Amino acid sequence: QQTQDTNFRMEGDKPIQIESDQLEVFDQENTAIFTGNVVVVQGPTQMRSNFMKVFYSDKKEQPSQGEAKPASTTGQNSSDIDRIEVGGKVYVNSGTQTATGDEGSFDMRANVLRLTGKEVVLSDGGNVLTGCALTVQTETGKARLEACGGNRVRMVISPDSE
Amino acid sequence: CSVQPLYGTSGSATMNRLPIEVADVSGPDRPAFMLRDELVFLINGGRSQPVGAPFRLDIVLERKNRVSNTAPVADGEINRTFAGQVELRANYELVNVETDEVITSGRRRAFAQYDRSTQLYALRAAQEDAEEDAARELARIVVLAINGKLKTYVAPQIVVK
Amino acid sequence: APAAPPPASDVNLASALGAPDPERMLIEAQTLEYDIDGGTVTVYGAVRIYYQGNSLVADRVTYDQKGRKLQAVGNVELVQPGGTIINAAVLDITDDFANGFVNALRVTTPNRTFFGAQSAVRQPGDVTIFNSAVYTACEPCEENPDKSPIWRIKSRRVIWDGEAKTVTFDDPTFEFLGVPLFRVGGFTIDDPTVKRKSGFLFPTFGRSSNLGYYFGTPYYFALSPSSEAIFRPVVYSKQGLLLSGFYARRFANGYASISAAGIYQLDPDGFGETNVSNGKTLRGMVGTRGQFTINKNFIFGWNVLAESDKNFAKLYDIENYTQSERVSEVWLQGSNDRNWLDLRAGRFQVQESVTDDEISARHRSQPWFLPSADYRRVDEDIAGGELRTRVNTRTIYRQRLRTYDNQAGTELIGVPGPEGLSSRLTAESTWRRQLITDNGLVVTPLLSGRVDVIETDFYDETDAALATLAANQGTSYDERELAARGMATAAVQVSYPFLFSAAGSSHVIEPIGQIIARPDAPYQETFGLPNEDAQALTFTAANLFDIDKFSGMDRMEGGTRANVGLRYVGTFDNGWRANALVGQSYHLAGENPFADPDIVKTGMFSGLEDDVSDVVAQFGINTPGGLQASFDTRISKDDGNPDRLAARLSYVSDKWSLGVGYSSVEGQPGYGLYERNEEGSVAGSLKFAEHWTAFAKAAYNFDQEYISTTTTGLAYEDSCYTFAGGYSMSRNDSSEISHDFKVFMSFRTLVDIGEDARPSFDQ
Repeated sequence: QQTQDTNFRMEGDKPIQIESDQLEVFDQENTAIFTGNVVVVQGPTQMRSNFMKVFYSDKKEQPSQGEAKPASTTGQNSSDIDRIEVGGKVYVNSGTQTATGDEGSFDMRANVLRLTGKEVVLSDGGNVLTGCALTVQTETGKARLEACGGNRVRMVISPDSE
Repeated sequence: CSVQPLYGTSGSATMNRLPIEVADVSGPDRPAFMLRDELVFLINGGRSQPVGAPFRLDIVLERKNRVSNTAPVADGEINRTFAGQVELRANYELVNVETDEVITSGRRRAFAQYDRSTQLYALRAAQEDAEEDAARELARIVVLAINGKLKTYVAPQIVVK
Repeated sequence: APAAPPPASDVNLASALGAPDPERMLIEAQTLEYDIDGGTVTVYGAVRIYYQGNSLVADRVTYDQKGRKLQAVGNVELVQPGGTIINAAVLDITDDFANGFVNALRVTTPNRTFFGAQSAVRQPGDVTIFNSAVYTACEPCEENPDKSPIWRIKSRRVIWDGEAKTVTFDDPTFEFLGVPLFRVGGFTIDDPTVKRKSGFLFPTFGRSSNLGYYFGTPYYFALSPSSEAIFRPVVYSKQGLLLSGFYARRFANGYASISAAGIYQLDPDGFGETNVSNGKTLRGMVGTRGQFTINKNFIFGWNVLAESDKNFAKLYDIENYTQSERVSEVWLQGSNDRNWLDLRAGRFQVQESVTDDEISARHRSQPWFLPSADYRRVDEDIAGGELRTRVNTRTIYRQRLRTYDNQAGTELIGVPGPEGLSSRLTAESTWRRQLITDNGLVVTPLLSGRVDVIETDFYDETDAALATLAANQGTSYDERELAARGMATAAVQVSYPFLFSAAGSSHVIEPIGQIIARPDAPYQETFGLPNEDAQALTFTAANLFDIDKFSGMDRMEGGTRANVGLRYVGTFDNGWRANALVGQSYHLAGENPFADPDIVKTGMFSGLEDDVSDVVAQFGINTPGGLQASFDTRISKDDGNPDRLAARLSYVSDKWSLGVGYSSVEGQPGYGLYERNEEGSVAGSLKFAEHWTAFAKAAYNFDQEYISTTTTGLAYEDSCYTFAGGYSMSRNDSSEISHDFKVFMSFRTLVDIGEDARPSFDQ
């Protein structure tokens, strides 16, 4: 039986680990910007991109100030994060599910992952879905993929995949 | 325009007797049999038919039988259609067995006539004999037609990978 | 550290999307909702799904991947690998598209037949059950698809079995032009390609001088998928009720059928003294036909008619047995590569209305042929050539002498039908070989030997007639109970084909010379040997190079003869094809067999009777565009006029077609026609409106100055229904003029009724 479906879930109370080449923090706006090989890991879910902006909820403490050097914040509790925005070849993986796109955002409160781009690809076991706007309710595991412009959403299902 | 003996080997590479397998002719039994029998002789000259020949001749034969000239005839002064005409039509395809390419195809016709005797046994004999004559003449025409084409046909080189 | 992200190309989306791999299901739509946990996918907006050769189009599709079920809703169209198209409102189906429930659908089969139904269920074994269904073969009309088609069958249930290829209708109603014609019990038709259904056939009606007005209502029984029967009662106003029945059975390797009919004539004396039907009350017939393939080489068959008198089946129009000249026989025929066998026995019949004692009565003098055989065998590679062996035997018995006099009636000139028995056994073997020299000369030597044994047992009256005829031809008649004769032939044919290649065409011209050396045929100068299968001799280009030009083996060609000719074969790049042959024959030495006396003067008017023969020629040309022309002629060496000519010109296109034919035969008073006879024929058709075609055909006899046959008619033809009505007048063999109106109707894939009067155009 394949691993339990994680549907890109990011639990609020689990530690979240973020790495990147540079980090800039803007206290007054409660935001932090990670740039260059950004990697976010939480439990089985992992997100990668070139650029990430994190919006913290106001009452929590933030990562150390100012230096734009390889920074890694571990032990940070994701419940302090309202929302994450990522850009530049976004790749999200969780168990057997993988999604790629150009930009994305992850609303920790509503547990909604959103990926957009010229070609957003979601693969789940043998099924491969492509479109241009993907919305995943990570709580319920419901994904919604839309086409834009003339082209259309596509899904390829291999017979043996569950 | 160029003139050369059809079967001559002087000046061109084709052998005189190209191995062609004559497939079963589909059409009315008797004339189809006679057509194939004469074709096999004209292609092999009496030697045994080639096995695994590189060319195959497929033919569909159609027969048309017409009667005409209703007039009083000597036997019994009755009005009777006196003249019978047989037309045999061969739709043929010469195929390169290796590549399945159709080298040449066409539709050729041969004719024969017979008198419609008042004695019906004689009438059937005359009609069958006319069909056989037309079938053998059709074979001669088809052989000349395909050999005319084979003369200038260069088989595509089959590169064995 | 987490693995590097797989570059998009690894997942080869392009190939997955480009060419849909049949093993994987491809779904395309505007929007897709995917329940990752539940494994269900809902797509909507111009949904298109490809899987294992099926392609499905719908407004919305929900696919339960775990349950392997697919539900398509809204403008659903499923095209299956075999070409079947299913249109439906709702389609519940398993994901291999094999089983499921379909709602409010229309199905189009590969050969353009259509099912419509409220609902349908597809079951394993490629079975589809349609509820309250409609079946038709008529193309739905684009403008308003709901217009009712010309014909359709409505039934409570239709079961379409794709594997057994049968379509079964439960209590169907046949609707013609929207009007329900008749309800028919349940019936099965084989998959839409086979035409069988039970029910009333088209009634026959009309009037004939001796039988009065008649009306018949045939009823067709589709007894089982392989057997059928027709019961055909016909009421005649003058002669009463005719009962006729037909039963046919199909087997794995053949078919057999039997017909029987009978009548009690109410007005037997209404036919006239010299009519064979006169004075008869109880009349009837039994007829049987069949053909079976014994193995891949042999076919066995029979076609036998026995009737109370010689004109019953023709007069009362018993289907399959109405020919005026026919043969009742049993036969076995087989061939294998170049070997041939034909064995048959039977009797020729003439259905004529004149009584036997009339001069023109022919039936009783038609022969019985007891077991006659023609066996041919070819052995290849014998001394570099082929050895052809032929054994041919025939035995003829005739009940009644048949002779005829000249036109003035003053001199006996022909004895075509001796009374009594004659039989011949012939064994012949021929060796021939074709050599091609390096410079392209084709040489064909031939050696042949033949032996005949002939037994004759004629009645005295025949012997007397033959003696008189011999005297009239300046020879004598030797009665020969048993005779043997032989022939040895040496021949060589030389031909030199040349290839002329021009820009857009190539031409082969082949000059041919043939010399045949033989002694004279024995017993030819006097009478005594029978001639049953070589009575007719027609010298044309086709038999110019025959070693023995007689049409049968009763006559044997002797003497030394040369045949010369030129053959042409043309091939044009625009697809035209032409071929021709012209030649002449020369009697060099010995007895010219075609000038010898003969019981019907065979050969004496053939054009071969003098040392230099007439010139024979034939020519044929056909074009891909539908135009073709041909002629086949024998031109008299004396006056240059064609003693025999058959010429034809025809053009066939989808808009209109025209065929013109001409045939003339020189007079041969001693043998056939009293005087020269010319006949022309023309046939044309014009498609004057969509689906509507008018056609006409006529044959005119210049010497008799009458039109021998005309047919005019109208035809309607569309995707599922054909109607052809033709009125034709013809003057048949015994100069009775008959008029009849032929109606032909065909409901495509269902049934054909009547006889198609439309002429073929290469006249």
